[in-house]
Amino acid sequence: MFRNTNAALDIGAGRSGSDPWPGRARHTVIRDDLTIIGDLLTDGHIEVDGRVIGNVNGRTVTVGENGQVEGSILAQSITIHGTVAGPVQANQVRLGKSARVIGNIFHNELTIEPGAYHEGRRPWRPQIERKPIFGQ
Amino acid sequence: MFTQGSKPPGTEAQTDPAGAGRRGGEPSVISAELKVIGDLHCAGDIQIKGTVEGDIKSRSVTVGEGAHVQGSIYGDSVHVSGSVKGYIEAPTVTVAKTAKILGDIVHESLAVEAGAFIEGQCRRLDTKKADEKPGVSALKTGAPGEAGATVKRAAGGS
Repeated sequence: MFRNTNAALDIGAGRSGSDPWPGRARHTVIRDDLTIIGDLLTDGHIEVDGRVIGNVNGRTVTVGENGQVEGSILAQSITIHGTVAGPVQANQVRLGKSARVIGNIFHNELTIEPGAYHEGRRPWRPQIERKPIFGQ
Repeated sequence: MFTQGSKPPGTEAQTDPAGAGRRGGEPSVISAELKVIGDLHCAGDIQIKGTVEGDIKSRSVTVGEGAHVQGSIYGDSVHVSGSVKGYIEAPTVTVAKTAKILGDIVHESLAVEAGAFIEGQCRRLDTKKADEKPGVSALKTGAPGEAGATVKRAAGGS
């Protein structure tokens, strides 16, 4: 029984696929059936396919096609394919063709694919400062 | 007949359309370096390896070793190998030896491995329901207004 419990834990840890982050401990996945009402803080990668009503702060953030963020996103690099309502701040910001962003995008490098929707300003910044959350 | 009657409404996976579509799908993962200040509502499965300061409502919740949850957990099945400071309510609760639970556990079936740390009351779900209204029926609906109040409390407490 308890072996089963551990096996359930290993599902996420041993998941194979197109995971660009070999350090699994740093990889957070918010699937489409999960809603988080509150803030997310990490020094790793966050993949949002679900809904976040709150602010997201991570090293790298990906908002999937089904992902929705109602709040600000601060990261070193952000890739958006879904919906974001709130300010976005990162050195590298990339809007995919299915992206829908309502809010200012503070960036150092900005890539917008044809088809992406953006409502707001896109101020350039020399460098976006992001302090590590856990002081590492 | 008796079993059906005693089952709280909304705990079956079939009653949840989102959950039914994703059965067997991959769980959401809160990684070891992630801290969530707020509530989590999920129709599927959640694996927590990091820190959650807030309530969790999901079909299945796994609190991994090294994970910290400060808040209530409501689910159909809850596995705890990490630390939980708060109330746990689920038909099936499994507590591993590495677990540390400070709070009450309301369950229909409870498994505790030798070595687990539990400080709190362990009660049966049906006994609890006889005393008060069932809380599990609110599980899948996840009223945001109600949860919003909890966020404030959780954020203020940290």
